Amino acid sequence: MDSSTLQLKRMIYASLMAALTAVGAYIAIPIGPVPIVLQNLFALLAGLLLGGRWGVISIAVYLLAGAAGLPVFAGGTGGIGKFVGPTGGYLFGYVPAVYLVGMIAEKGRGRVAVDLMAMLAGTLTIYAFGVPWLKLITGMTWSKAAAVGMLPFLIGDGLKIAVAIPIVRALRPMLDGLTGPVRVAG
Amino acid sequence: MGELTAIGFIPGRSLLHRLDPRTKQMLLFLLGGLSLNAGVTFLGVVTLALGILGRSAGLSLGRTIAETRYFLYFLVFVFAVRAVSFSGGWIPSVSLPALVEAGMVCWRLLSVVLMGILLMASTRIAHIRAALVWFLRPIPGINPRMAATMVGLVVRFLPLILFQAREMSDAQRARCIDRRKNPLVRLRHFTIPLFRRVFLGADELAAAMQARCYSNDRTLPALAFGRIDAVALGVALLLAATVFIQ
Repeated sequence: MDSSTLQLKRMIYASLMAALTAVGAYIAIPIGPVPIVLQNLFALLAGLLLGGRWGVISIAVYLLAGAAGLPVFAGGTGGIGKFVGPTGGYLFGYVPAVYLVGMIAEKGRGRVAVDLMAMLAGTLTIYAFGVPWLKLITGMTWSKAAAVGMLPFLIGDGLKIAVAIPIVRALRPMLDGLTGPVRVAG
Repeated sequence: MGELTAIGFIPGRSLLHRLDPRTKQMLLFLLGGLSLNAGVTFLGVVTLALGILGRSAGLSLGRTIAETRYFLYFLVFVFAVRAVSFSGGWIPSVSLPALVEAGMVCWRLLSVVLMGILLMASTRIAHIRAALVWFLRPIPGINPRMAATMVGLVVRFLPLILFQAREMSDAQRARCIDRRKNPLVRLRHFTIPLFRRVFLGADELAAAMQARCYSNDRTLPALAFGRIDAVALGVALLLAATVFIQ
């Protein structure tokens, strides 16, 4: 495959991951009383599947589409207002989180333990940006901000991390060789 | 299952259609940003303007409501959460200031979403792309054409992927997969086939784009910033000043 083909394919994969992240904002799987929204799972999968650099490009495109007013954020909204709203920190947090996930996963070359660590680090990074932002905008105390913006989602996050591993193992062979050094071990 | 607001471009010659796409995006940025902590005066004027412009751009009220119904459910939920408080133990209490505040929050969100819908209804994707290239050009480290093409691909594929997701979940329901209680199994059965289909489509898309000699250096549609745009921006700035009148 020559370099321009490779470049084009990577670009299309990154765009589609951005579109999938947007789709994740619309889809909730009803499990128990709180439905699980798939957006942050899909965003972190962009890092796992595409690697650090293209993962970040994919998320940046997603955020750019949202900033341009396209309805890609949770609840079918878009617009620059979302970034300065109370949940803006989670959106900004995707960029470093996906980069971290991608970088760690590239180093791990498909080892399950490393992928797990990458997902864990990514999830924590999103909260590290989201919760202080929520506190800042709404003026809540730390404990209340964490109770509203983190604790209710932790069980869902655990499920998402657990399910991300078989998903990347199934999907990586399709992308192998396209996305830099990420390969399946064994 | 969610649904994308399916309001796409509506051809026409209304005031909004004739504005430069860059002007429209600037208006969206300015007014959308200001809406978030605006008072009644600003929101009232903006909503009225949006209504009149939407009408002349060919959007009907019924269709707009039908297309945004999921967002409207979401708004009702936000309203309920904001308006009801549990300050005195387990008995919910509703107070007038809380109701007013909740109403304002919903109004602000609604006006921002309406702006997005109007932009989509009155601007071709190629023009949005050209405007994005123009906006991104001064930012270093970004290839503006590539970024704009990628945003264009997202717009194109979003409805397609949502359609595939719905088709897939129908097929799975027919095979009783929704009866499985284990959330891990359900997440897996949902995500893997969806991603696989999308990625297979990506390969076809790459081949199709190459067959048509795709390159980053395509000719962009010419954009013209005319007098009507200057007037629109001026009016918007005046409108922005009303934020300070509470």
